[in-house]
Formats: sequence, C-alpha cells, structure tokens
Amino acid sequence: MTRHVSAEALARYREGDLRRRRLSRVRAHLAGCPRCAALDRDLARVTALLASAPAPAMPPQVTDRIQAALAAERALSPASARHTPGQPARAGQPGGGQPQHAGQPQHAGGGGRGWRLAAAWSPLAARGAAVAAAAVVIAAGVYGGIQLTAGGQSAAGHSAAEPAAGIARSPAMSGGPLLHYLAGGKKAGFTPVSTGTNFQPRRLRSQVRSALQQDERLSAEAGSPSTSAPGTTSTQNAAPNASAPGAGSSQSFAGLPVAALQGCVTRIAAGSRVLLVDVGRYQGRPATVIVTAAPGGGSRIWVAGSGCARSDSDLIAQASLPAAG
Amino acid sequence: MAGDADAFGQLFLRHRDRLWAIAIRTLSDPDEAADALQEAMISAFRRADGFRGDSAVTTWLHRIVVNACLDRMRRKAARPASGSADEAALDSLALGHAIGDPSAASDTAIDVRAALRTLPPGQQAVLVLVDMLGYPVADAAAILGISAGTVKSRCARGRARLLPHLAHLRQGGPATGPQAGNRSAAGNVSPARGGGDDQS
Repeated sequence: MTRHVSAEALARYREGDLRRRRLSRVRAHLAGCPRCAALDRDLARVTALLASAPAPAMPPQVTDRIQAALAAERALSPASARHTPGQPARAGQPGGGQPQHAGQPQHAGGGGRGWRLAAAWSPLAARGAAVAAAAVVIAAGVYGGIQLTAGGQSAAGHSAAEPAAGIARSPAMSGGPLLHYLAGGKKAGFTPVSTGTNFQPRRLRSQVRSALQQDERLSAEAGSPSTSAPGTTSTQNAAPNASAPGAGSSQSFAGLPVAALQGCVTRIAAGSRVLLVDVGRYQGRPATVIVTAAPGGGSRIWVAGSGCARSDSDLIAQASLPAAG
Repeated sequence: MAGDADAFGQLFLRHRDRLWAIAIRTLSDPDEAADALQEAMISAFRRADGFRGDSAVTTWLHRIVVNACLDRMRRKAARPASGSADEAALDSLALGHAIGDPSAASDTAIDVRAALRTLPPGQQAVLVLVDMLGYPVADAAAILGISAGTVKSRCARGRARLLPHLAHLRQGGPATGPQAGNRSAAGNVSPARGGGDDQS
C-alpha cells in the first residue's frame, strides 16, 4: 500500500486541486485504505458542518441604522463643505475631494460616469433624517465654532487637514452641560466636549492625548473637573436641564441628544471611570470618542458611532492608551 | 462625496441579506457584523466614483464587505480578546462537547465559530463564502480578488486545519460526496444556498 494521504492533500483532492498523477495516486490509495477513507469522509463532514452552522438574521434596526448612516454621510458632503471654506469636508478620507459624479454600478459597462447625485431626498434617505440632521449640526458646530486664537495652544498631532489656525471648537465646548453616566450603579458626572478633531486610526492615541489636554485646560478655566468619579456626583451641581427627569431627551450637545449620549457613555464605560467624552468625528464620520480609566492603569479609548446609545454601543474602534510618563 | 444616498440605500436594501450573511458568519458577533456592514456601506458610498463598472456591482459590494470584515478580524486579532462571548466560545472548544451530542445546534454553532477563528483570515474568508454560504469558487475568487486556484487551496488548507477542532462534532453528521466542494460555476455572485435576496 502507498503512503497515507495527509488531511490537506485529501482536502485538495476533494477540491479537485491536485495534478492528475497525484490525483490518481490518492484515488487508488483511498480505495484500499480504510483509515484515509475515513479521513476523507470526515473532511466532507467539515464542509457540511460549516454549511449547517446557523447564524442570526439581520436585525431590522441594522437596516435603519445603515440607511441613516448613508443619509448622514450625504449630509456631511458638499453642502457642509460650503460652510467651511478652505477646509475639507472630510479631512483624512482617501480621495476626499469633491468628485462631480459617481459611477452607476447598476449600469456597468455603459453609463458608469453619467450617474448624477440625486438632488432630492427619497423617503428611504429621509428615514435617516434625524441622524443626518445631527451630523449637520456636528459639522456646523465644529467648523462654525470659535477658533482658539493662541497659536501656542494648537495641540501636536494634528494633520494639515485640521483647521490651520488652531483647534476649532464649538461654542458648546466651554459650557457643555454636566451629564451623567452610571458606573456600578452609582451616578457619575462628565462634561462632553467637542474639540473638532477628526480622529484617525493611526493617530488616535496622540489625538486623544491632545483632546485630553484641551479638556484639562477647559476644566481649569471652568474651575471644575470635567468628569467625576462614581458616587461623588450630586444632583446639585448638575446642569438642571440635563439631569431633570424627562428633560434630557429634549437637550442636545453638538447635535447629539443628551439622553443618547448619557446612555452611550454608560454603556461604553461599563463601570469604569470616564475621563473624556469628545463628540466629533472619526475618519470623517460622526463619532464620539470616550476615554475610560483602565483597571490596570492607563486608559482605554472607545470610538462610538452616531448610533451609540444605552442599548447599542455602535462601537467603531477601540485602543488602549498607556499611562503618560 | 461619492454616491447617491437614495440609490445607494436601495442598492443596500437589495443586497443586505447576503451582505449580512457574510458579515455575521465572518465576525460571529451581531454588533461587530452590523458595524462592519455599516463601515463597508459608507466606504462603498464614498468610493462609488471609483467604481468603473469593470466588475458586477454585486461582486464589488461583496468585496468591500468582506474586506471590512477581514480588517475588523485583523484589528481584533491584534488586541487581546476581551469579549466574554469569545472566551466562552474558546472555552467550549477547549473543553469539547459530548461526542455526537445532538442537544444543541447552538453548541455546534459556537464550536464551528471558535474553530473557524483558529484559521488565518484568508482561509476563514474562503470557507465562509464557499462552505458556509455556498458561493461558487469562481465567485469567491472574484469577491476576494484572488485566483480560483488560491480559493481552492485555501479551502483545502482551512478544512484540513479545522478537522481536529471539529472532531467531536463530526460523528453522525451529514457527509457530502467527493468533490462536493468543487463548485465551478462562474458569473453572477450567487450562493448555491442561503443568502436569500434577489439578484441585481
């Protein structure tokens, strides 16, 4: 009898991926070798097992969320760029210019370049109108905001695509409402900021460090820390509208409903202490960057999308941030 | 800015079930799958101007979704797993279940998922497309941007590597005949089974 056949060779045999000579050798061996024939059957069952593994169906809210994100994406494009002369609408995006057209995939081979942007909103896109509106407010808040005038305050780590005169900040940045999150059943406070940073995967840590520094400066100006440890927050020092039951949902910060933001921070923090909540953008799309204290020292960066709430983190990215020093 | 939100929304609606099937089977976690799908659709929307019509839109969209999932897998692999679901899956794989235990399809799903995760992303991707979703080899090759031969060899290597991990599940399971995995139909991206939505 010839040598036994390896599992990989058998798998290649089954896949028709062997040269003719090898194939006939394997076939001949299989005919006379119960051990390899059993292995061959097992391999067949691997495919069958993979095919039979169940998977959850797509939840309807995912469809809504993605359509809303597409609508928000549209809202972030040229219209918002017009309010920001000299600044790209989506800094850091590959080919982030302003194409005049988009290819029509369905008409492949024909009118690919003739596909024009639709001027009107469809009911489909309108389903995401709330999110789109939020995105517009964020863009306007970031770019229409006050520019820090002291050149020396421009934090390191910003690309040329960031506003050249310094770090744009929204008017709400200095007066962001004190909001709350729950950590281990205790109420804790945080003040969201909007540093105007377009966070990028590769520079996330340095960008977050500068955001933390800006947040620190703001806290010093305001005379109180922007976040507080669980259990140390009383309702007396909370912004009245933000903490009053039922009032939170009517408030927003940088276009995000306060209630959703509080829920999002509670969900992401998952009991950890929150160090920073920066409502802005990540790779050009609306996102909230949350920094929490890590159990073993240092901290953790979480980037949540515009769908982040108590029920869904909409997590886009996360990274660790080693303790400075 | 690239695509049209309306047309893109419709394109997404038309293909969402199949795209979701890829994302959920590649990433297992519904939250992760939803994030990847959203990321992929936004990316496709932005890159629509780069679409030259040299491949079917279905293939193009599938490719973007697969790549978004693979990116996510690689990012996840680069940092230690913190999810309890992952740990539970790996624990269950390490401990094994009673041979031939018919009690839970979910156990099978967990084991298959955990076993798949032991493979390199490239092998996972071909097995998700070809074995789990029934795409013909040629279509999987088009989606992944690799040759049919590479798809076949990755399938073979992946299945062989899965063998020891799934030993406890193979007893009594259905078997397919030789060459069952050698699907060669080309053309539109259409799974032989599963998926469920219509063609563009």
